Amino acid sequence: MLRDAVLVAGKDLRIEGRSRIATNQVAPFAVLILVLFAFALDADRGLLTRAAAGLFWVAVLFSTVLAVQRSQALESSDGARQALRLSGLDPAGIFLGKAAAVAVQLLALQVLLGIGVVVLYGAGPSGALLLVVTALAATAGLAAAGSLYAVLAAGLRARETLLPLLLLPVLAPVLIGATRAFEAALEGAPGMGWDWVRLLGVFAVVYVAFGTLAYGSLLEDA
Amino acid sequence: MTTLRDETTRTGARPVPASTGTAATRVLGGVTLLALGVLLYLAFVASPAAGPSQGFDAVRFMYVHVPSAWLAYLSFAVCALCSALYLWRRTRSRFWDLLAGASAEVGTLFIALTLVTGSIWGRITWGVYWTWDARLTTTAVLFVMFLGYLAVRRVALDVEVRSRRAAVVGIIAFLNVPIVHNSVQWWRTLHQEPTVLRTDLSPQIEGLMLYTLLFGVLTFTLLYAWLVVHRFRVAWLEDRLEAAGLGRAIAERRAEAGLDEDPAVEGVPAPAGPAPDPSGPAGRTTPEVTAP
Amino acid sequence: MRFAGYLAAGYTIVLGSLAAYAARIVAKGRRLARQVPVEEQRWR
Repeated sequence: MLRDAVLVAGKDLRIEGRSRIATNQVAPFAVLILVLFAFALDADRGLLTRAAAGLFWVAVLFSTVLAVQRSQALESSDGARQALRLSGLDPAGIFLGKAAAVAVQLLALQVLLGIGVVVLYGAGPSGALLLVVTALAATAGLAAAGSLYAVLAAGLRARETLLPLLLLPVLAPVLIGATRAFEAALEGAPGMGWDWVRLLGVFAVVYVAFGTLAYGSLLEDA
Repeated sequence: MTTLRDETTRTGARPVPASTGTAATRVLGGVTLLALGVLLYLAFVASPAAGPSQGFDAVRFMYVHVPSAWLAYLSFAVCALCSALYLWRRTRSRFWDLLAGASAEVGTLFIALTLVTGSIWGRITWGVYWTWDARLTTTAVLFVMFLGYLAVRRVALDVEVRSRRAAVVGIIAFLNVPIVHNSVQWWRTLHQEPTVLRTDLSPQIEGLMLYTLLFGVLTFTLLYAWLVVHRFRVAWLEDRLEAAGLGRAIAERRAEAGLDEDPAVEGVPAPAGPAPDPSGPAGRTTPEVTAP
Repeated sequence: MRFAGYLAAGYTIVLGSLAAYAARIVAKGRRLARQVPVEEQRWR
């Protein structure tokens, strides 16, 4: 199963390396969101700095929708989905692989956004360990839940509108948890932050487990 | 198939008026209406207004607000259970899928009513329509998630595929409730004292007020049962019609190709066409199939 | 009775929308039941 996951993740990342859709479109979009927030909230530095954690994660959430949509779009042409299904790979491995590829892209995006937040909003990074662990836990949850919902919406004509409606409410706990943990880290009070990391961990475990179980039957008919 | 339907509408359907009602549901409906009347009496006449700290007559909102919230959560539990039964191969049948959809739709109505009555009640006792209280926020998120679930059920897709996906969405949406609730609760409690007004949400209830509340829950449960039974039957009819429409479309294509002369095809009344109601949730058939 | 307006509005919304929803289901059921063969209507 893990070997299959590595294969699928490698395939997705290789495609990304050649097509550069995420690099050339999703990443600029995420940075654009940061700039738009600055317009909306006035360039008053105090407000932006205080809201930095929340704005950072909102940008990540929207990018997640795009990333998982792209991840499914890879399979939609040339009968790739049928090929994947007939390849004999373990469906659980396919799920983990696609989620892992999305997670890698999201982590790269978060590094970029992190730099953007520091530069544009003037938020100073602190509590590095909590920041990194939070980002890892939240990304695992985002990628797992996102990949699961993306295959649910795959092949529908209304997928562009349906996927955000389905996915964003489900991701609400991640937004809350990751934002609070980041705030705790930035305020130099990491004690409370770890409670949130635990919630993010539970979320990630639930969705990885559910996705591993359910992906097979969803892939069958996608 | 088409001749069969013609005969039944001409002969079989006449003695029994076409409807989704039966003797049992009519009794249930009557009892529900009666109970609603009694509930209104209890809520407005018999039960006392609460003390000044509870905002006097505002407490009368409790008798619809709490039951509809309770029923909303119950109907989503039913939806998740039916979805699980549908996904499990040994119990897979259209019955569970359609029941899950019916329950979710009724539950979404109840949750909307919960939010509306809660807002008005909040306006009276708290002075605002909305607070970011844990229970309110969880309910709102649940509402949006089930709007998404109903949207999946309405998607134009092969019936089996759509049902399977809807079942997964229904289960996830329900499993997500405790996570959302916990996160929202921590979010509020970690950042500020519980609102002073929060205590008003569970006023001291005793005697007749408690009885009225329980009676409200009972009444709404009856109402839920009646609504779900009828909604399920409508969904069942739509499902049959969709299946029949598919068969008919194939027969029509065959007739167009001149394979056989089937006089019954012309005899079918127009409303029974493959796309009977564009506004109906499952009234659409997959366009790929109906297109020539 | 205090807050009579709010109470009336709230109860009207609740009972009104429930009644409207019930009426819609029943009407739709009647219309569809005419189009489906009786032996496929499992409650008969």
